[in-house]
Amino acid sequence: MRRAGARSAIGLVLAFAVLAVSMAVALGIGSVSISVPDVAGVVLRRLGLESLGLDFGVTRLEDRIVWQLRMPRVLGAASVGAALAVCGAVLQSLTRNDLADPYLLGISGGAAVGAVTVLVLGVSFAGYVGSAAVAFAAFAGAMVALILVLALAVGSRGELPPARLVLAGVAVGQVAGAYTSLLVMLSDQHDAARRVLAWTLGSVAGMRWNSALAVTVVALIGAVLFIALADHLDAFAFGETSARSLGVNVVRLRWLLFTITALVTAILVAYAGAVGFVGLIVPHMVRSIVGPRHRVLLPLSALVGAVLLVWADLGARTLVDGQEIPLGVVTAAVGAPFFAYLLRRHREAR
Amino acid sequence: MSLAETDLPRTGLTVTGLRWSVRDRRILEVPSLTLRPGRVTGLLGPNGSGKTTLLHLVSGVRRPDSGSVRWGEVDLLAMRTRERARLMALVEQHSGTALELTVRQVVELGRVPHRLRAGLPERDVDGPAAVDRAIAATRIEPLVQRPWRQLSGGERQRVHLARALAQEPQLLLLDEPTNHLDLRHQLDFLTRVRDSGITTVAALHDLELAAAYCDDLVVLDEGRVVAAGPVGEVLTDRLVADVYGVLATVAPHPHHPRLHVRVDGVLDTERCSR
Repeated sequence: MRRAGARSAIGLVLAFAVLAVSMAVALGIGSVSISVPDVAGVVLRRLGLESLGLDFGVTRLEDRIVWQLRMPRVLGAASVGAALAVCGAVLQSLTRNDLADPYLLGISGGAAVGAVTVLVLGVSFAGYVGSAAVAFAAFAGAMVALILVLALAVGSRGELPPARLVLAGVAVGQVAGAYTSLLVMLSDQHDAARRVLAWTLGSVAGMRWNSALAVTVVALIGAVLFIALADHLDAFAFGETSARSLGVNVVRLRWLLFTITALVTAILVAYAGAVGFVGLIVPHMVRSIVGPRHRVLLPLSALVGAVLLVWADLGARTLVDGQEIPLGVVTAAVGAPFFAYLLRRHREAR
Repeated sequence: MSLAETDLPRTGLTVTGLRWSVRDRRILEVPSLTLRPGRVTGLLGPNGSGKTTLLHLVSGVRRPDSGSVRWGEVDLLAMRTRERARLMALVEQHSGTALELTVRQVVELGRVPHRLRAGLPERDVDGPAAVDRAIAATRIEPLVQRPWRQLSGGERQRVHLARALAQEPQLLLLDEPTNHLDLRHQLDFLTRVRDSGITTVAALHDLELAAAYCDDLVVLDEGRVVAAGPVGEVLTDRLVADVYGVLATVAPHPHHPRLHVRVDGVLDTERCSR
């Protein structure tokens, strides 16, 4: 028991170190290469360590490239990855469904309705234009979808049965899909389909400091809250009746967690599109390595999700010269083989 | 388990005016029922007679339409869910998981109600010791590092009992805990329950097991209590015939100071096909 505790503590520290190194490497790579020590210098100076009398020898250009241009994107990628992974882990435990992911409650479909309307029709939304209009429209669409799904799924005694939620999510998602497909087909813009597809597969290319900070705050709040409820989530291991008899207020917890994961996801989708794969697969990867207990599973999922998305985004902006590859394509291409390897390795257990 | 014995309320478990219905169909109606503290009470009755429902209503897993459930002076239905879970534990008929938990981790789930507090984790100082005691009491020490999913049905139920004991309850509710177990594991499970000394309500199907391990019996039929009291008074040929539609002879056991049930055949075929 105590040995397992020490092992998971080491795992967390290690994962955190890997994330820090990954971010430093990603910050250094681009049209201008900057060495990892110089990247560290920029970041440490910006974090206020210069006041301790240290000199990092950072040039103004390096500072601008690392802190102003690349940091929002790298930090945004890490936060989106972390938040998607913890939301996926929470939803998989809450529904006891291996296929649950952050877009379970029709979030991505609803967001797509909003985003595609702006992308294709080029309308402004609530006074915003361009990518800000897309973000706001996507968030509004996600909220409408969430309310529809909750209204469809809620039972006569105010409970939220997971099976009904999944089906309601599918129904709302189908309607949303029909709308976006129709809009793309009817559009007379020749690149409408390509732009919509690019949005749907996700990207953090548009991240600036304010959006990166917003996503980071959302990811941190979500992760801290979910980790605080780790014991409640553990109690679902043997199902709903067992969770109740262990003292969990199941109905209240479901409302709380379904709503919060949906809000977090809606904000992520608004800024980064519907990045697939991370929220579905990362929790499974982490579970197969450290087991299903949430006090370890949730923080480690966040860190692994962050690392995966930092590297995926690095791939997205560097693999093909002069063109962005959608994030969802890279996450699937990188993550799926590793997941396949884990599936084979754990053949005996299932 | 000395704690459970010293704190025993004198009046035990009192159920008053308890009703539960689904879409206007009455599933259970118990005007009044008292279970004595410190005893093992068997809950008997055919399939669908309301045994599980009664256990779920008492444990707070379901909320009744009306009525009250008291443990001594404590109103169980007015309690917070997590406080109720510190007072009583439930073992289900068979509950499984797809997760890769070790046996010890399953037993540790019993400490969850002691760690929950306003949504934030609380330090559970007695936790590891309570888990060790529960593991020792159910004699599952050799299993603790094993993956739960690799255990046999009998071992799994024993682990569930250990989890329930780790909750340190004053009241133990068992829902047909020995179904699907072989004979040896059935006897073994109920022996562990008796040895725990905790006030227990156990839904059982096997009349012979009920006669052997229970002090008192409560018999349900179609959602109503048709008999309640000490085993010797409740368990009769007449009752078995009335409730189960089975011809049986209840007589003193030839070798033990308890009753023995000999089943002679089906009494009323109409009842079964109904």
